[in-house]
Amino acid sequence: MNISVLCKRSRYAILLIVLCAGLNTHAQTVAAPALTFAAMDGQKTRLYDLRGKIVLINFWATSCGICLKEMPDLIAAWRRYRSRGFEVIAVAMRYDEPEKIREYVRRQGVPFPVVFDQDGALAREFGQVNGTPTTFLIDKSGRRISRTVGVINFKKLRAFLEAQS
Amino acid sequence: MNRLPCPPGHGRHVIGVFMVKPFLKYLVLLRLLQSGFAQAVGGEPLSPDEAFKFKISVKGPHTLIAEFLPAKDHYIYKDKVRFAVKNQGGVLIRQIHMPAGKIKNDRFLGTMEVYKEPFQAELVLDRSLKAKKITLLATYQGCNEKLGLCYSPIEKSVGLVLP
Repeated sequence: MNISVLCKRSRYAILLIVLCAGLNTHAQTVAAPALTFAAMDGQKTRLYDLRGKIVLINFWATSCGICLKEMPDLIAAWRRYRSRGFEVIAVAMRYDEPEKIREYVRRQGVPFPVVFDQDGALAREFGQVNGTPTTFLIDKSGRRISRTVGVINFKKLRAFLEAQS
Repeated sequence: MNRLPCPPGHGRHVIGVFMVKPFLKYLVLLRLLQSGFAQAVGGEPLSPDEAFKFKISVKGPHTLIAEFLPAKDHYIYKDKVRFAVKNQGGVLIRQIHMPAGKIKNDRFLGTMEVYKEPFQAELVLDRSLKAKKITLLATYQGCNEKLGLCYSPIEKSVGLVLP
């Protein structure tokens, strides 16, 4: 094997070790809970059935201005990356009002499943979500790879989704 | 051990490198995501009790004072502050006096009145002097302006002995 190949390989190997070591120490990739999302329109989605796709789960509320501001961007991201295996599930918090949720979903034309977390079970399953927006990303193997509290950085999200395709 | 210098112009024909590169790209992006894909504007959010400190005290036989201290860059919605007496037993809240808040114009929620500074609410009670023990339920909700995070409504139940 010539020197250039060796050098190149060792460089990548070192980078790989550093990145993988980082993954272990941060231990932020955790198995996503095995859940079924019952959307307000009656549609049911099992998280398990979405294996092989990148899933974004967005906890929101109609009383959260930031969430309402972000929703059109989430819809745009879903439309753009859906064909490449990107799914979005919006979970309205238990303190929200079903009528307000339905009205917003209808007016905004939200195309992905919207779940009303009436008893707060989903918020508990995802580690006590106690604010909105809180957004989780689940990778193709069903592992939760990120948790974002507050405003989403859509530039970063798009870069990640582009890298998946 | 002697280190060999890396010559310039590494060939793109190396199959191993081709296989590793997309994975590396994925790992780099994954690490970025793991730091959260939040905007880099604030740090970790405070716990609800740190974000909105709350205290209630008895001022007199018919008056309670509720104190709220929103942390820096946090605010409380005036219309989300609510009080109730749980085990009434002859005690009712007759009036709630709250100071004027600051007007916040939200593109999506309209005009809201919020408190960014510490404030007090005065609760005037209707009661028979025999009713001594009450449990007051306070509910309030606010947001972290920098993170763009709105907390779930916070409920506090406080046992009080009236003079």
